[in-house]
Amino acid sequence: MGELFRRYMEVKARKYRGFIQPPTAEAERISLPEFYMGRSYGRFLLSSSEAYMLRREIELLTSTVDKLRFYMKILFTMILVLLGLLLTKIIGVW
Amino acid sequence: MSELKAKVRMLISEIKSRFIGNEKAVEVAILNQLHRRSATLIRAPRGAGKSTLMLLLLKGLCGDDFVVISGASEVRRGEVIGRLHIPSLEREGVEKVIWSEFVKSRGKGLDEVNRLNPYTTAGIYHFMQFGEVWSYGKRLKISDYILIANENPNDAGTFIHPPPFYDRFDVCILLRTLSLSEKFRLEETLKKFKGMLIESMPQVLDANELEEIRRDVSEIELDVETLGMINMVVRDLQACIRDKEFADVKPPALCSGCHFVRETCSKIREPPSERSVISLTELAKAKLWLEGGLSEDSLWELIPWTIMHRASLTDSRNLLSSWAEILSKEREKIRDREARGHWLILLKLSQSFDQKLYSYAKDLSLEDPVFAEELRRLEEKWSSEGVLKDLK
Repeated sequence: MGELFRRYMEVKARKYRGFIQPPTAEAERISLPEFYMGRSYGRFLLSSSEAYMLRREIELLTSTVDKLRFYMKILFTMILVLLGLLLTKIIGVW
Repeated sequence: MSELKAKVRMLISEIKSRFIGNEKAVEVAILNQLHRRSATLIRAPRGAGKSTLMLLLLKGLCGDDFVVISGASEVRRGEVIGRLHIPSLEREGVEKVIWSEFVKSRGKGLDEVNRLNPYTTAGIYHFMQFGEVWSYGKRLKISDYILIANENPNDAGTFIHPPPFYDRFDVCILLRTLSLSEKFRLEETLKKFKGMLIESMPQVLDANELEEIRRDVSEIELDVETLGMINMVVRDLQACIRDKEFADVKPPALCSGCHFVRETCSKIREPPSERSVISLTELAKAKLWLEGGLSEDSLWELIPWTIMHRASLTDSRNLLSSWAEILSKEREKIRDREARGHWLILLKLSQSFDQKLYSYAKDLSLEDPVFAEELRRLEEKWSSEGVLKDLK
């Protein structure tokens, strides 16, 4: 491996902020030469850029769902507090 | 140095004041003049301003010290390269070569290069490749030059020149016809310069200044990330696990049943050559020299000009939009590699074998032929070292 390519990889490795995911069972099993000979192991035929865009969309959706879930929790908490207050008022606590 | 930069900016503004529209193309054409032995190809339909842009560039850089050859099938090699001095041959029996003005001149223009016959073009190809010309067994070394050619390959009378000839041009500038508002601007410009766009163009840089600029630009060093990006884009456009470079059948037929049938590789019939890396590096250096910085966006803007004439696509109905789509996907792919830590994994694997990392790298390889290529190299190394035994 050339020196310049190594330096490039080092720069990119230093800047990498993610984590390395565990490999899939399929990856453990396959051999690349065999794979390229024509076996596609039933994977989706997505190009990597398409896969990237799909992942980005899923991330965006997930973050939107997370936000919604958070606001719903606040709403439910407020409703519960109000119901509690109403109940205590009905039974004459105050 | 800042004075020279100001002069290049002045050249850009002088040309833009006379040449309406195609602003990006004009900038790239000028940037391409800032390295040694520059060769620029301008491709456009007739009447779009190919010859005007060529002459404006030559006037701005060489004043009147340039020679333009007009392409026609009857233009002979002797007129373009050199011919025998007949009196010397008749009186003394000596073969003396008279080198053409085109060969000796610093500024060289080739109008409608597609109409030049292949025999004459071969002489031009030779000096672009080897920096020398041959005629009647005599050789002449060519010093630094500015070569600007133009063509409309759809015109009648076109000779099909071989791809290696076009490969020697650093960039290919595609000019489009003017929009309505641009046509009105052209009317005003013609009025302002009394119809003499070329005659009024001043020489902005002299030979010494251009030589100094070219020396400065050649000494610029690009950072490793920019170099990596340039090389990666070109490799992405070249890579094919079925080795299309050596296959008789080309994509899309070659891609039938291939795992990467939806990848960029399946859209490229003939991949760009290694010269596209050199041309892109030269352009990037020129941009860095002129502007003091090179953003990722500006590098991506330079890429199409260096590859469009060097590669052919499976779908070339609209060349510009097809390339725009391919390059936009490429950009996403490069981001994806960084987001998924491809280079960190490859670096760690190149340092030592790790089964888990190796499996993950195989996983990534299934979506990336260029990464797979590098992993296969490592596999071969591990196999020869006995680290990886069951490599099939």
